[in-house]
Amino acid sequence: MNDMTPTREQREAKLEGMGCKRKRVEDARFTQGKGNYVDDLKLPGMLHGDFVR
Amino acid sequence: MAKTHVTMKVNGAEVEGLVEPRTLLVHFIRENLLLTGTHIGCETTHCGACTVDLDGMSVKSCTMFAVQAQGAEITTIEGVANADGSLSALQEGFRMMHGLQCGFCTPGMILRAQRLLQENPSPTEAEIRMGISGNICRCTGYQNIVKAIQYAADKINGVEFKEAAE
Repeated sequence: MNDMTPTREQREAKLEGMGCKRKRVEDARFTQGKGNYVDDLKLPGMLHGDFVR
Repeated sequence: MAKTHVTMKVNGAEVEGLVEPRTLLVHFIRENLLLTGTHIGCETTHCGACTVDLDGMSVKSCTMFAVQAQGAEITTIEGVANADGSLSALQEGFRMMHGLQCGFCTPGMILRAQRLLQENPSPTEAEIRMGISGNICRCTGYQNIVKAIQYAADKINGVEFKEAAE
């Protein structure tokens, strides 16, 4: 390996090479409770259903 | 059904509402306060998705009635970020270390981890695993959640985080 080989940090900064970790865009909202899952939605006139088994 | 008036402090703000005696704390948080970051996973205390911080303890908010939280001080995931809106050390750790995939367990995980780090600022890996044993994650296999908490602990302690070799 020559001295020009980029470190993992350098590769990850430019998102190149295998094994790079990518920062996911959705993680910022998931970690702040802003995920907006189906159960979080509130629409006008929305009905709810329950299953009794 | 007769409703009861409750007041509590959530994420620093005084809140109040009318609840039925049977209303669970998590339903009050989600439906009255519209703070939907706290999730309902199992409603049976197993999964930890609904974990909030209540008077200095991690509490599963599906296992508590809203009336029991009268006068309590509560932190939910909406109150975790820094005052300037930036991600807290734990939120950043989860993002940097890929401590989440679908993100459903994450609010409960972060609230639990935050309390864990206040109880034990420098936990070992085993202590972290024991500390979050009440929170279930079906995506990550926990490896990266443990790393995320180690990352946050090191950041809070001002130590450089060194990822263990895989």
